[in-house]
Amino acid sequence: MVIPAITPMSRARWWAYLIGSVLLAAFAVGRPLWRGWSEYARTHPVSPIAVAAGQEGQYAGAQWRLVESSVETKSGETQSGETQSGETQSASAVGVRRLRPGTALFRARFTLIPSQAMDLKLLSRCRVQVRDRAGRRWNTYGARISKLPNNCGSGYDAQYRQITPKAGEPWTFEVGFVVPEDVVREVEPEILLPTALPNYLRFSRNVTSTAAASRQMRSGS
Amino acid sequence: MTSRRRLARRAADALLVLVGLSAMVWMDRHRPNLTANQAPFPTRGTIGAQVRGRDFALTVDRLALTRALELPGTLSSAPPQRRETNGVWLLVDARLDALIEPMALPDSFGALSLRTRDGLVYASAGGRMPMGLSLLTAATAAPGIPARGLLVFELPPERLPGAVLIASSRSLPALDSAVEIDLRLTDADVRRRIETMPASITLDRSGVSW
Repeated sequence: MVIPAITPMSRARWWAYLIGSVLLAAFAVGRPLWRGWSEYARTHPVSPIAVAAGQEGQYAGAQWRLVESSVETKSGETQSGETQSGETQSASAVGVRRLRPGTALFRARFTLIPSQAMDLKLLSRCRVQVRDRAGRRWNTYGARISKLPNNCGSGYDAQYRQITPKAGEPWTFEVGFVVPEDVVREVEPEILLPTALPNYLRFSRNVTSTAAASRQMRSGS
Repeated sequence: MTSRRRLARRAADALLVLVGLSAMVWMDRHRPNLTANQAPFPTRGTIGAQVRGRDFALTVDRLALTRALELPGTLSSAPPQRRETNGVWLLVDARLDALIEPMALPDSFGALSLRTRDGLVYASAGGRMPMGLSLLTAATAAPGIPARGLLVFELPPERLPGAVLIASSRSLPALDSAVEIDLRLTDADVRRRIETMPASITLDRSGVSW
């Protein structure tokens, strides 16, 4: 039996085969992974746009601002640095809410100004949620918690006529979240529009200005 | 190379091929079918303990058996109704903890069932109950805000020993997680429970009351 001699040429070919195999394996594993991740990112919020407290964010063709947030607990404790809104039944509340023991109501008031180019119908599909540091999420409390609309896309005025956002005009809405009392001080609100995924807005808390913030936003400064 | 050594080498090659073919046949025979291949990843536990899946945790606290359920009418103005069975109604008082986001336990065959010792699977009977009962499948749990309620199953009493509750957060839990909770029902325990079970249990909209 004759063993072929290892020549420089065959060694180079051996390396070429090895590198080619490694590249092929990387492509075979990496391509489906990348496609899977791309598909996931297309339909899930994975890229937050951080909005500092008191600032506004550009998202999906609109300006968004968290103008006020507050915490209501069963014990009547309120969060410092935010609007002091009182106990479980606040002056602005619509109806009486009964919080379960160990839970708190986090209220968030937003103002958005849609741009002229924005498709306003998309706003009816927006989702507002809060997230704690561990990544756990809570949805909005279903009912209205104040006289303001409780979603981005539509609401009712004092005469109970339906109103919708208009391009270039501020639209203020207020939502509530029932969350465990031990995380209510850390949750941060987020706004998602399916057409703008994977981007979404994440608002920092400790907003103290309310009307001033709205005026500032309206003037565009 | 002598002819004897050549023969031995060919025999070794043939043996190697034979072993390889046998391994291929064995692997093919033992290849999991599609159902097993796509099965959810189970987390096992027992009654009384919290069993954690990927996105939820389930705790079964207590069980009750009865031959008949006294239920409220479908509407508040409708008369109450009585549901009898040739088998038994198994009522499971359980607590649902959401771990990531708000969720409800789907009342579907793929998400909620009872597997007996001999491998039969019984679907939840919650869908056959009037609306508004304090069923766990009608409640939404959020992280840190658990939900409590009943799960209802109807099955022959002889199938109860060794029964395991299977729950998942999705109707089609392929490759997701599922919790499997051994209800610790032995033959003797089932006999004792059937001898002492109430003729009927009343379920109302105010909560678990037995």
